[in-house]
Amino acid sequence: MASWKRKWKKELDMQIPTLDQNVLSVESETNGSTVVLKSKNHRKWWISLSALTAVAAIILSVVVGMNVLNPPPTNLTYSTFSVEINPSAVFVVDNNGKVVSVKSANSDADIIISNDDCVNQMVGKPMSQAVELFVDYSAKYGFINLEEDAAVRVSTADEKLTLDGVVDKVEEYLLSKGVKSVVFSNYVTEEDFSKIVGAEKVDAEDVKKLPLLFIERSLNDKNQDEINQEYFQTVILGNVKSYIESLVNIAEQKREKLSLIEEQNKKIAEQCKNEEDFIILYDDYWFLKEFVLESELFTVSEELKGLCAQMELMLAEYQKTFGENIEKQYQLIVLNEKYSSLNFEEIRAFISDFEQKLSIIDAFILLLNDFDIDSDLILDLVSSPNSAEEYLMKLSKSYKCARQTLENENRLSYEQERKPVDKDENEKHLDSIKQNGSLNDYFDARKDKLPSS
Amino acid sequence: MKGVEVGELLVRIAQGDNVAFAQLYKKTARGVYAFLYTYLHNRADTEDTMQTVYLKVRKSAGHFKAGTNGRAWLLQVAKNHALSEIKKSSRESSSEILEKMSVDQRDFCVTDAMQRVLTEEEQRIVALHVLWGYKHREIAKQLNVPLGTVTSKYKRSVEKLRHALKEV
Repeated sequence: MASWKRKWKKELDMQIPTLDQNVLSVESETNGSTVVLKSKNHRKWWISLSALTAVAAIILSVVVGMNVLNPPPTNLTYSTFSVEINPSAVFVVDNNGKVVSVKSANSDADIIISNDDCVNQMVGKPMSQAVELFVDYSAKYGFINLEEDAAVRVSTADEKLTLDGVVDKVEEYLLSKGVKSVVFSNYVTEEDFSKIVGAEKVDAEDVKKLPLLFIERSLNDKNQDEINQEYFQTVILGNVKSYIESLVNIAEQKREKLSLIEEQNKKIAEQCKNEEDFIILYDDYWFLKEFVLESELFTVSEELKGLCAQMELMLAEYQKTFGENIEKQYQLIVLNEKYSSLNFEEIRAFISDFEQKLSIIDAFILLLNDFDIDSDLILDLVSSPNSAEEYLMKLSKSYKCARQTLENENRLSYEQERKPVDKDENEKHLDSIKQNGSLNDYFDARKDKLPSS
Repeated sequence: MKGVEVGELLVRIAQGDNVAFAQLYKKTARGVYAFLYTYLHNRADTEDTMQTVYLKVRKSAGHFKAGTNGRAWLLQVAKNHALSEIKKSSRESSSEILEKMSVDQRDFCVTDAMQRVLTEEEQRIVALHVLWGYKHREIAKQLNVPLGTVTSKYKRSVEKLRHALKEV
């Protein structure tokens, strides 16, 4: 936290008065009737007893109700299975097929699994649903390239665990996204399964005890210097720099789009002057839309209709790309002013010289704020952690940045509508792969081509 | 402090919970004090108004509607009392007002800097953001100004404060 904030809070603490006795002993009003704060002893005792009875009755009915509707689990057994895309995760399920735990099995998966929302959505769900969600997040963050074929391997060392439901659900998801895919179940020995998960022991209780994130597993083996070095490379030069870069890219894209929208608005304003059937008070698209285009009273030229239709498309595209609606002209003016006045040259220079500029990053706070980059967060993340715990905390914050970066970069691809792949077509795709070797060979060959994580 | 947390404490205060009242004071006094100060500009009036505000909170907690934003409710109470105090002090002579102001700020360099270099609105924006944890969008709604104004004023305020404090 900036030092002036800390100082200010200390100053305020010195100035805050103690409350007078009158304030502390005043009566509280409740719905027009006075509730006395200090009650007489016997009434208090009577209220306490009746309150206690009422509370006990409520608790009893809730417990009975819960036992009727959700009988306590008996004879639950657990199994484990992994899902490898890259990223990779390992799941623990009970014998009802519900996910009870999910852990990251490689460092790319850390970005997804560090998101509490994602994990909370998976735990307690049927395994096929949870895995589909994991695959969806992978696509959202660009780990699955929706322009290319995909491959997903679902492995387990438990022969009794049925993976068909998971395989079918994931395949259905990918085909609906227009992606030809190889999704298959892979029954392996315990030894091979532990290699996949990257842990020595892989039965359910051991997997439950694994740290949530893959990166945590190796933390105990490192000293503080090694941790700081890794932090510097992964977080500061990795996640933080990419995060700033991605927000600057978005600002630049916005500037371009807003300038085009403004141009279009000017064309509309010009055309309005040539219209014969009406004169409008404010020559902007939004005023026109509200009072002229949607009114049956006026005849509008085809040229003006065409310009407005183009504007409608431009605004819809802006909304889809950046998640912002421009509903009034003054919003366009404010946004245009903001983005056209940004100093892109300076921030690009800052990013390209990022490592050198870290020591004087305070000087860039205002510049970062101009680009809507949370400078407090950046200042926090560029300072090295003092312990393994602090490292994990900062890492988690940096993963939030990484998720935002990846989401921004992949938004258009993820949201693009594609023609679903026909199941028969995908079967042919699978057959052609099997002609050249096993599905495992195909999967491993693809994995070798990916950057290691 | 979140609106939900303040709301929960207000509901308990309405039921006569003294501990809840103490907790509320502990968590909100800083923010209420700073907020009142942006209206009243001197310690004496701010301290007096603090007493009135919390007295009102204590008495009227029962009128707070559970589930609504407790933080906004509390700030509204504070604002109402600040404005009535301003009306009262408009009857004071200028020498009385100046005397109150001059006593205050030798030991409090940040508070002093805020008074010197920031406008009332800027002080309020900084207080709401730093002490109350309000996001800029929420401040825009609270103060009824455009979001862009809040963002740029906050940035300018931080810059001015940093500059002023370097001079100390």
